[in-house]
Amino acid sequence: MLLNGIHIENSYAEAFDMKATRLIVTADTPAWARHAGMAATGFATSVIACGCEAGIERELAPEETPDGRPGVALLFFATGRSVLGKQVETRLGQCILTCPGTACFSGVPRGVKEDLIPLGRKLRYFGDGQQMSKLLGGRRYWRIPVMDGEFLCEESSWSVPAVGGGNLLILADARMAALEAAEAAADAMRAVPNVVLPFPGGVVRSGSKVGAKYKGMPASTNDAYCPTLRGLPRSRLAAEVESVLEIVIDGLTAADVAAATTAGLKCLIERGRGSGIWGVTAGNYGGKLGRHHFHLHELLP
Amino acid sequence: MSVLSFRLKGPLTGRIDASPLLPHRLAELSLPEIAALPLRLGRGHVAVGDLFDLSGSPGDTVELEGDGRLDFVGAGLTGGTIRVAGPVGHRAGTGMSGGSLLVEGSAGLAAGASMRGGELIVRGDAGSELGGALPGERAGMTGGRILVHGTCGDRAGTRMRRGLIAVGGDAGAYAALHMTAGSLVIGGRPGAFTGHGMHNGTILFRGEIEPLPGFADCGLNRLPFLSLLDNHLSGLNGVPPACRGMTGQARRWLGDRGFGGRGEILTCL
Repeated sequence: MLLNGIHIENSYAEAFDMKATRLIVTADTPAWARHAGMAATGFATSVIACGCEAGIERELAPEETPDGRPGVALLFFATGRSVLGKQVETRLGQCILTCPGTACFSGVPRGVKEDLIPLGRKLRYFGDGQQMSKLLGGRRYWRIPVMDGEFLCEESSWSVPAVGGGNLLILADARMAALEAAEAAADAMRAVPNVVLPFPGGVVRSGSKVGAKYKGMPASTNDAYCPTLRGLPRSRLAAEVESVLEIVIDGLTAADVAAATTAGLKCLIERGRGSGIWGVTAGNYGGKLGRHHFHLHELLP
Repeated sequence: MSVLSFRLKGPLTGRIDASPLLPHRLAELSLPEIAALPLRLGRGHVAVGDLFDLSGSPGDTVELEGDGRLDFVGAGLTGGTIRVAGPVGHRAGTGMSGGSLLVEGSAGLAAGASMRGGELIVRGDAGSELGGALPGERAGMTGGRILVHGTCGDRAGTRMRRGLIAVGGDAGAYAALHMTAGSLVIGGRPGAFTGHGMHNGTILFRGEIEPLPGFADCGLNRLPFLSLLDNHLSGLNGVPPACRGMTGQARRWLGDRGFGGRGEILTCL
């Protein structure tokens, strides 16, 4: 299918069921909330080696946060509740507790015990007996004395079902064209609520396929989309395509991932062939691994 | 929503135990059955119908004409609403675990004592032992909230363990006596010996005080917790306006260290 000169391949992104949680981190200024958010969601691009995928969902105005200070909403995704809990616990302790002036709250509705993600519940022991708890409106908060005052932290958050691994592949004539298109598409997709793009700047250049010729490599380079291997029979790239970039989407529901995919497609189609975009496709593993399939032709704007 | 109203037929001749007049206990009864219910009056009993004119239909709300001799109003309330037009006597809302008790007038002694949940709002003043412990109980209030628009007497929040007491006016002496945890917000001024023997918990009011010697001055602090608490109060109905807006700098007194306590008195600037 050709739209505004861009090839939209009849392909689909294959995404997986994950567990997610949202944290609301506030601080004295938006910049310090952002610092905490950036650190806590750093090194969280892929569950393959990072343990979780995470990102800043959006910035929050003071009137949107529980303590009336500027903040950020962070989304964390992992393959299961226990690994998610472990990741959130260490990131909270090392990246949010440590950041000046921050406070941390759960950003999801109260769930059941089985879905519990401990926040202050474990971190309170850092208070060495000087911590205080407060129960307000059925939610418990911990106040831990720290050197710049007090770290205020909700006792727990909860995991919610989520979808991870939605994606778009942008095929372009040149690396700069691919990069500019990916930046624009990532900006458009980030505006969709309940999703994060976990890779640096939202963009991946090293898309992977399952398996490798080497033992012990669970994933290896997606050679069918590597332009330097265009001449091989298994290459999927047209001769004009010189650079491919991928945008990976994690969202709280399949509808959120679909909405982000549509927003990305809309942005790319509007840029048109003249901007150097050759086409758009999506990555999948034959449809057997992930329950959620996002067909590009069904998600066109 | 069905409302059952009780209007006094005349002046009371003695103190009445009004604890049977709970919405959930009356909901299954007809008006004649309710009129025949016995209420304790002094040493004897009297039928509900002899004291009150009944109107409306039994349901989740009871409206009561108030009188300072009506004791135990809403005691043991588990759900529904009791609205009292006027004052109530002693021990209103003691042992409540849910529902809402709204007193338009003042409340006597031990209102909300040993409360476990729900909401008690007093538009007038409250007597001593507000939200305190009933005789023989180890813990005072263990949940819910008490919102008093006027003043309160001595020993408010005695042995309190959880929950919130907000008093719009001044508090009497020995507020939060032996408090274990929870929050006591005073819109006016605290009385003498505030926080005596407190183990944990928070007392919050405006203006400096000279607390008991067991309290250590931890200086001025800006606590995000105060904004969180104020936000929480803003979402509740019937919070005394004087209890709002305590979000700025606060002096923190840690104690009562004479009892090994690490509770806090926060005096907002």
